[in-house]
Amino acid sequence: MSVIVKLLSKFDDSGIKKAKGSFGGLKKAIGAIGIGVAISQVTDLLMDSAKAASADQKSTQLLNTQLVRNANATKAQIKQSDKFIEKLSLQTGIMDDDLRPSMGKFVRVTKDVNKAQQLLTLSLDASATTGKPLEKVSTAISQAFIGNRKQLEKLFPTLKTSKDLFGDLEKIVGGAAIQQADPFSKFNNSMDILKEKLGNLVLPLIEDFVSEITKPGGAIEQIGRFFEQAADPKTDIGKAFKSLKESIKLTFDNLQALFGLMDPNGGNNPTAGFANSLQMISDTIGTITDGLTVTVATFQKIGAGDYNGAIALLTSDIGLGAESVRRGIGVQDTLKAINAETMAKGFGTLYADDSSGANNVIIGGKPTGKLGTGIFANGKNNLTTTTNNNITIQVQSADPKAVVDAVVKYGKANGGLPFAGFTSKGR
Amino acid sequence: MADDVVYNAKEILKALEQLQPGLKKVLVREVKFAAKPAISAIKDAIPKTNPYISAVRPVANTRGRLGWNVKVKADTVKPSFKTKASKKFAVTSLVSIVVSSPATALADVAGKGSGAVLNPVTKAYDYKGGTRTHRTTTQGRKMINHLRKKRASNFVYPAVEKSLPMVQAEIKLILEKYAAKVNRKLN
Repeated sequence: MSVIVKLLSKFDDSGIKKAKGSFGGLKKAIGAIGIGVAISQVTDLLMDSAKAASADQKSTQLLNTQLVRNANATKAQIKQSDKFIEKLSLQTGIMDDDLRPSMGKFVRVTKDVNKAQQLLTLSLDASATTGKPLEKVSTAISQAFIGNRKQLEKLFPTLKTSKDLFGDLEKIVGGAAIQQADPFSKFNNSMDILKEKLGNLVLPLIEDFVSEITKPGGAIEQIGRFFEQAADPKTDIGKAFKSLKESIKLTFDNLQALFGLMDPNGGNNPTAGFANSLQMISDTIGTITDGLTVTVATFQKIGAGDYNGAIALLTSDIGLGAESVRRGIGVQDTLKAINAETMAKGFGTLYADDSSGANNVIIGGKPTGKLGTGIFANGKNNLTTTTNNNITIQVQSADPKAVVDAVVKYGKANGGLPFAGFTSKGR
Repeated sequence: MADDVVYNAKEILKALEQLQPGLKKVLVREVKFAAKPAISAIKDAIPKTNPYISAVRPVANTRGRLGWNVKVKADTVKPSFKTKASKKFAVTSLVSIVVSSPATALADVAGKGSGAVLNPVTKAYDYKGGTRTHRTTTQGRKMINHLRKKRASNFVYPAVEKSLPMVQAEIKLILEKYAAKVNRKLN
């Protein structure tokens, strides 16, 4: 217990960040062992493990080479060294990838595996005590081993008068690394080692796969050769690709030309032609269904003994007949109703009485172009009227007199036409 | 009490050491020297004799942690300069004055609390081969009353109240002086 009088404060959140980092590491480690992780995360883990194992193998291989070259280490010694590094890593929480370079440094200096291991342990303790990086401390100790004590004495000034340098250093720092080991680091390190072990299982599979696809005549070579050939017009595949490309272009050009021919305005516009062709298909389907409706209704009427009704349906316009079936009234009544509606609206189809032999008339707006109804019923006439006091009559390979007669007759029957004049267009 | 916050103390000290090895030590020495008036004031305010001696407890505690001048002298007041970051708080004291004797600290804070008894009965403790508890005694209350009566409590802060603003300003000036040195070097 003490009383503290604050004079000046400082802001420094590095300690808090460090603490947060430790907890973040824990979270990462728990995530790494796959608690409640999705399949993609599991695959990520496998790939990470394989990568870690690959890096670990590389680092191990480097150290093992050093052990053999400098200390003539046997296979048993190499195996023991691997185990020593792993154990030390677990005890101190320091990554094995960081320990191996230091170990290599000591082996080069001491030419002895056991002595190198002792010095590595000592340097870990010294690093933990001084807070200096392991690399720096291990360099100082390895230099001291060959007689250059300056760096080590700078780290530990009390060793200046020491006669047993490493013995005294052991007394000062012995066991510090294990005592001061951060539990989170140890945990993370353990998880990393587990990952490496998992990676050691996965890595051979990946290696097999890679060697299989990269071997001469393997998948990579075959696919590469295929692309090369496809790009070369002299090869069969290249010719086929070129031909396919030209065919696609030709088909597109032909379709454009075809739709251009279908342009109702004669402008050779492919878009308008395509729209017109769609309309024609739609109308054709409408006509076919109208015909079917009339046929079925006729047979029903014959079956019911209504011969007059059946004859009226058969002799009427298909569109009119189908409409009468849909409305459920007679053909003549349907004709009157439609004509009255057309006159009221100012546009539509004026059906002529078939007994008079006249043709139907379409008035108002754009021509519907409907096949099989109205003046298209006989496929000869195409009459269009507009509501702005102008009438356009288009006559195509039909008898214009018959069309004019139909209009005149309608005018007489209905007390005149809803428009004033006529203009004639085309032939 | 300290309102001023230095935001880059650690960086300044690191840069100082890089600029000229040993400069950090000089700065700390200067800062501690600047705090001396406040330290002297606190020392003067600390009772010279054991304030706990009373009719209730006429014999001084000569062994325990809370004994006057036992292990730590009652008038031990030291300046402190800490740059180490805390894991709990972002803002921590950089320069402070520490009264390290537990007995002095206890005397200083006596009576500053609400006076409410936390637990009316003590925890169980060993007694003659068994355990027992007893009611919380009034000894503490009597000790506080005695210290208050003798004006032997709440002496640390009142002692530095007057000198503190000047000491703070001086320390800040010292830091600014060294920060300027670093800046000159960097620019």
